This record gives sequence, C-alpha cells and structure tokens, in this order.
Amino acid sequence: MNMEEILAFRIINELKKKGLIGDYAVAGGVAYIYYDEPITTEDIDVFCILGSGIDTLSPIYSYARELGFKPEKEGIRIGTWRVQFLPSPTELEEDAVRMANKVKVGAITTRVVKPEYLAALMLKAGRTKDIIRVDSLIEHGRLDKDELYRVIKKYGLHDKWQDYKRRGKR
Amino acid sequence: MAGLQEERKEMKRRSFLEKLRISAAMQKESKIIKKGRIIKPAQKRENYQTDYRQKASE
Repeated sequence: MNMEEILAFRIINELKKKGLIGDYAVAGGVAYIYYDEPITTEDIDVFCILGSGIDTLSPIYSYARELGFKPEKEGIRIGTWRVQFLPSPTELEEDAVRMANKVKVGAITTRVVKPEYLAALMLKAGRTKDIIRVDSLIEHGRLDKDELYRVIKKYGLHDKWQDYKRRGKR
Repeated sequence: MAGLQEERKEMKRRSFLEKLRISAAMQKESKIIKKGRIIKPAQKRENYQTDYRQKASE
C-alpha cells in the first residue's frame, strides 16, 4: 500500500489525538467519492470543531510545518492530498461532524459526514457542481430522502431546496 | 444501459481507497491536460515568431 495515499488521514487523526482539533468529519468531494463515484479532486475538506482553548487554525499549520508539510493554497499538502481544515461555522456543519460515519481508508479509520448532511451542505453551497452531485446521490439511491428532508427543514434550507428543484425542474 | 448499471454496482462495491486512487489518477491526468492547453498557445506563438524572424532575415 502506498503510504502517501492515506498519510493525510493518519495526520488528521494525529491532530485530533494531540487536541489540536476536536471532532472532525470529511466532507466535500472526498465524502462524495465515498458514497458515490470517483471525481477529479485533490482536496480533503475537513470540518472540524477546534480543540478546547484553540480559536484559530495556526496551531494546526505550525504542527504540520514541524512535520515537514507545507501550506498550499487554502490547505496543507499532505502526501497525495491537500487538506483544508474548516472550522464548523454553523449548527449544520457542527451536527454533520457529530453525526458522521466511521469509515475505513485502508488500515486507517476516518470520519465522513452522512450522505444526507453532505447533500444539505452541497445544497447550501449551491454551485453547479454541488447540484450535479446532489442529483447523483439521489438518483443512485445513496441517501435516505426522508432524512434529507428532515435535515433541510431543521437547518432552514427550504429555499435552497426549492432553488434546486427549480434549476433542474425536478 | 445495463452496462452503466453494472458499472455503478461495481463502483459501489469498490473500497473507499480504490475510489480515492482512481480520483487521484484522474486529478493527475487533468493537470497534464490543463498544462498542455496552457503551453500550446504559447508554443504556437513562439513558433510563429520564429517563422516571422526567419522570413524577415531571408
């Protein structure tokens, strides 16, 4: 097994062990890959609840630098992947982290947001690529529609859902 | 259609790591294509300029 491929997931777990981040969950394109199909991406988006007493990402960057990993664009290059740490800005992201699924990447256990939360986050972002991915998750039966509606309702994403339906005339 | 369904089933069966490998390979390939697209017009321009200079010196 090529260690470069899973190194990022190992380091994310290390950051949690060291208390530099609290709970976390992988979202974005990599979460989509887990539930559906491979797509072109090199970013691992990690929603994280920062460690107690930590209110910035700088300790994460310092620790990464100590290990020899360099910042790249909005993230840190760790092996094959560029990892973006995103402090959970709202209750939706926080709950997505809390409810995440434990998932195996090779020998490493990581956490990935549930597909219904992933779809809600993509509806919230609302970019064309997000809409296409929501379509795919629904079309391929990768999520529980009732649970998705519950999440949409709970986090006030009804307008986004209506937009989504209008855009695709669904 | 049946082929597509089979492919989807196969994709579901694949492990996360396998799918990540495919994704990383796709990313690498798209970078090469992008790079090619960026270089091509510049090379073309350079070739035109070389041709022009050669013709001018003749």
